[in-house]
Amino acid sequence: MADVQLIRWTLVLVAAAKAADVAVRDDPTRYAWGWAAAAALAAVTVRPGCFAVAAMGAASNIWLEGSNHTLLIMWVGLMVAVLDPDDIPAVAQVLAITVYVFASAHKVIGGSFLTGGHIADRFFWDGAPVQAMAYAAVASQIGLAVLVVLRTRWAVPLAVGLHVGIVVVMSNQLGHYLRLSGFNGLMIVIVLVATGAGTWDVRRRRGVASAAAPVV
Amino acid sequence: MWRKYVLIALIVGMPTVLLAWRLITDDRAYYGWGWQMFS
Repeated sequence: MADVQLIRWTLVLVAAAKAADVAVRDDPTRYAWGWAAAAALAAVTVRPGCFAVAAMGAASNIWLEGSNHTLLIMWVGLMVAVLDPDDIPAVAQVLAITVYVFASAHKVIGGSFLTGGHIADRFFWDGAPVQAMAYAAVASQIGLAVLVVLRTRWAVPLAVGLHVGIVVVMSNQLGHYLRLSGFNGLMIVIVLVATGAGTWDVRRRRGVASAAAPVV
Repeated sequence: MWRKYVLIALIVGMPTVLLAWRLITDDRAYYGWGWQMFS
């Protein structure tokens, strides 16, 4: 259950951040109320709440903003809403691998990301080595895909470094900050769960030797 | 549980379709809905 609660409370924070993100835009929308309601519901009841968060992710993705962060929120909400808790780490592993493999592929294809232009547009430090940073980001994502396949906890520090780095480098306004912290915070939690780090301390404390999900 | 396999198929299948769509269309797809999913 530790994974379920970890993801559920993360989704409460993420949905609340989405409510704020949508509300502070130049054209605030009624989606803010939906996100706030979904966050409140998820704080009260796990499966219906996470389903509501997933539904808000899907609705935002279709009608408001076609975007990877709302899509990720949808998958993660669905995981908690429909899965047996024992299945969550395996699906989180597939989700994390998919995110990193496809993110790397899209950054490499066409090569426009590797020029560093996307980073230069956002980062306030003139003269930053944006091209090297772009290559480092892609290398980190490929490395994370491999480490998550291997299901080693070495993925966690790399994920924290990459995702905190992305939030710091790519946010120059409140909206960016809210969106990027939601997405990147969620990815850190997914990597934690996928590599077993979300549950191991609880199992050790209880002295449970689980054959289903051995401590890595 | 069967829902596990449905969710895995969706999680892997959807980006696969979008990536294939981007690869077989021209660069204008770069700015489309499919690309924004990953940007």
